[in-house]
Amino acid sequence: MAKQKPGDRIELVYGSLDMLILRTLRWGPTHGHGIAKSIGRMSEETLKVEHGSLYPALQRLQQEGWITAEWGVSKNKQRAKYYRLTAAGRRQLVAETSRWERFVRAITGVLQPADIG
Amino acid sequence: MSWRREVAKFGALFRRPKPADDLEEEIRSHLRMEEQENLESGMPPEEAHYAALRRFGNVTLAQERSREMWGWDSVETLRQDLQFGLRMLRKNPGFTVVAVLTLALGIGANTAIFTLAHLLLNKPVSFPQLDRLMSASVITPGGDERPLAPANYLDLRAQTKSLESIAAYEEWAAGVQGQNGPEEIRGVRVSEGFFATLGVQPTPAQGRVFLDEDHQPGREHVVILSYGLWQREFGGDTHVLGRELRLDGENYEIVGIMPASFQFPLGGQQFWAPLALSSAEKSERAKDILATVGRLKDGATLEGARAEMETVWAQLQRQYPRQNGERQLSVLSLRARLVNEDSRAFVILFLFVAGFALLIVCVNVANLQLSRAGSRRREIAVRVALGATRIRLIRQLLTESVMLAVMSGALGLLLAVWGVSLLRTNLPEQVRRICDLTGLHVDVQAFIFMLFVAVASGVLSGLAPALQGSRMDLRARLETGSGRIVGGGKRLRNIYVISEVVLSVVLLIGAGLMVKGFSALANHHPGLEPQSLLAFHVNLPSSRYVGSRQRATFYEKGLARIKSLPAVQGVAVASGVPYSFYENEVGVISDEHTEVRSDQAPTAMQESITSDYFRVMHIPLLAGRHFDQRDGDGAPAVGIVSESMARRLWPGRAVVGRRVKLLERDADPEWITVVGIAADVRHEVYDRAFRSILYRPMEQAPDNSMDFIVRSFGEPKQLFAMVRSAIGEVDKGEPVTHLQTMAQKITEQASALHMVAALMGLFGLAAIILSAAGMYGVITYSVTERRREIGIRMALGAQRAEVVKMVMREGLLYAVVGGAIGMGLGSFLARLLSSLLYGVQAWDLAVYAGVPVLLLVVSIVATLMPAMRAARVDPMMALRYE
Repeated sequence: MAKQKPGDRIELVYGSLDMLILRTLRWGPTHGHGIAKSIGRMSEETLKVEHGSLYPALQRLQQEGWITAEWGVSKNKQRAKYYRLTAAGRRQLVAETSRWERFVRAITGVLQPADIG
Repeated sequence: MSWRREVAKFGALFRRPKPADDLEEEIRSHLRMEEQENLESGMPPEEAHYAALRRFGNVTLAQERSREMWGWDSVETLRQDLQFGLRMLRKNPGFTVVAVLTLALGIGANTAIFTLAHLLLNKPVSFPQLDRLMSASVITPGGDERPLAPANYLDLRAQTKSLESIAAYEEWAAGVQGQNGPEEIRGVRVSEGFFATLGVQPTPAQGRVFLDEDHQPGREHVVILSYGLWQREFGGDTHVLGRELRLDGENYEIVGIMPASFQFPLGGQQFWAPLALSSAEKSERAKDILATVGRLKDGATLEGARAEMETVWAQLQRQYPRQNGERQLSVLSLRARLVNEDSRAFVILFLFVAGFALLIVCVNVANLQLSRAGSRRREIAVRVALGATRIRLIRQLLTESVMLAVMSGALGLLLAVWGVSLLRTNLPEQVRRICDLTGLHVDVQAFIFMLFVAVASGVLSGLAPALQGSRMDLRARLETGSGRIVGGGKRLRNIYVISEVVLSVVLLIGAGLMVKGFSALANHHPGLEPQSLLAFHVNLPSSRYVGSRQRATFYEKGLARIKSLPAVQGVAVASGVPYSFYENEVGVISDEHTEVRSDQAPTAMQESITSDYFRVMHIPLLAGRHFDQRDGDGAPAVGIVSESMARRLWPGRAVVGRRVKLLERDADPEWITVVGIAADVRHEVYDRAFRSILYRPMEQAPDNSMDFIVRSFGEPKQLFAMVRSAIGEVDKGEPVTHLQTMAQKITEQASALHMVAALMGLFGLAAIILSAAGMYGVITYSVTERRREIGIRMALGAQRAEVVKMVMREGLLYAVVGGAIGMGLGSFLARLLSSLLYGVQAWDLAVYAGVPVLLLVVSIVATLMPAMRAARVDPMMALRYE
């Protein structure tokens, strides 16, 4: 793994972590480690996620009923807990994504007012 | 916080394994996978392992935060706090015992008083839908409340539509033959619909209520027993229905038994009999004898009923101006009628004293906790270092405090149960009069109150120590030696000790003034020499004594027999001797002011007496003559007035020979000629001024309910048995009631107030002892803290005596400051008390001088020991001691 300077990584906004996890699970059930890796990969390592901080979030998402968990066996023949998206979770992801997009548009609008047209 | 999560959390509480448990395994597997990847990308094994850990972040933190998601934080931490708190309490038995005992006393006392207050104020009686019940009476121009006259009652009953039903009742003290001779038991004569109005009846197996025909004159010899009477006199015999009870010499058939919970009106009624009015009695409009109780119709309000009844009354006033003209109708809810001003005041006084005591206890326990917090500094510091927030610390300390208080509350509840049973049997007569005390026990509401008070005390006594103990100056805590107090603690302790001193001084001043005031009242009986007097009461029922001649014969015989007893100096009969709660106010018109309106006429208390009355009572006659044989029935009406009455009606003029007329409502009253003036005598402990009394000769104004007053040579108590048998010789079925010495009567009247004063005094003393203990603790602590300083001083040449003086100065400073503030506040309390309570003066030298002296003595004692100990400090040890 290439070393990156700490300043290149952006601290994840609390709450948007939920969205990222749900998004990751969209493509099928994954275990905790896999989710961490996916997020890192997809964001080109820009998003710094301490692997440990996933776990509280995973618990919370379970309580909300957006994901379910099941013990299974990984490709390396190791026991791992796999998480999958539920129907409610799917709906939540859609809602969160659109909210985030609105948020981004708003910020962008403020930063580059001349480009709105 | 989404509800979904809460539900999930709640559900998880009961699942095994808990969701958080296999987290550990999951994290381990995560780390393994990361390590594996690292190895595959070429890292050496050890670096792979550590890189994985670094990438993960803080494992413990992740675990904890995940656990937090699932755990019900509050419950978990609460349990932890409680367990820890229990352990701490066990470790400090001295603190625990003192704190628990004082808190238990305070909480217990408050719970007991609450039970009494609750009973007195909220359920003097308990009926279904008590709020729908009302009561009507009249108010005389003098402001007295009186029952209704039968004719008025019947008219109101017929014409008021907003009442579903209304019934009347009249008290009846009947003579029965008890095991030890004749006795008097109290009962009630009730009209039609009485039980239906109240909504009670005997259980079906135990008879019936009265039928309409029972209320016909001649058919009224039936009776319903109270549960208590049934148990006592008939042993709970299940076949008692149909048997007979002999009341006032006549047989009454028992037709029913009321359940144990039924008490009405108040004060231990033993039986109920039907009220049977003859047609003459039904049209009686001048005699006020019938109290009433009514039930509002569904949907009607008290205000509506009141308005309607007042309209009816206004018409009755127009129709019968002489009888009803100056009487106003009063319509109150039954509860309001039964709970009067006096009982409310009494209860509030008690509550105040108990609350005050609890306050003192809380301050003391807070003080104890503060000193204990000092020794827990290290523990707190470690907690802070491990990441505890201030809120968390405060919550922990408060939890411990509340737990301590609740535990004490449980003990306090036991004390309250004991206290309540004590109250039940020992409350003064005045309280029994207004409330049925058999219902006085600790119940669910008292329990809830106890919990509430315990939690409040816990918070109150724990808050400041918690705030103090959780202060986050970490470095100072860990650095300082165990013998030094962190600054602010000292100030708070000072405040506590001073406030304890203030509270106890205030209480002592209040108590002292009350005690002085009440004993002055009780011992101050101008116009009377009670030491050798005794009195008793007889009630001659019309069923056995028909006509005034028969009654007069009874009195003559009674007087003669008692006079013949060896130890008797003199005996007389009067309607009501002083200190026997006798009331009989009538309006009077003097011959000078015949035109005065009846509602503005002066009033006087009317008393019928035998001719020896003043001589027996040692009341001097200031002018004129005593009654004698001239003043018989049919002779010109005469009277003797009290000194105050003479002054009020004929100021500055000769009075003998003047005439007065009583404002009676049934007949045209005759003029009464004044033949003498008697000195004033006080009739009740609470009288602020002498009453106007008009004495009439017994023959001219006979009464069927009279007091005998006897003056003895020597101790009156020795005459009790002989007096009883003397009356028994005259009429063996006639009960002798209220047989007491005059001294006993006076004490009984003042007993309620004596009790409050004694309680206040007790609390005051307890308070000052607690303050002394607090002072002792603080000074001891201060000495320990200043050990080095003392050591240095002594090393530099200070004498032991100087050291002692130095320490005692500190202690006495508390006493002086606290005492000054306390005296100031106390004088406010004094002014309040003297305005509320008759007889209590706002200034009394003994009290205002005595309390500071007591405070001084107590403070000296409290500070002496630590001071002596300070003087024994070895300078070498002190300087070395860290």
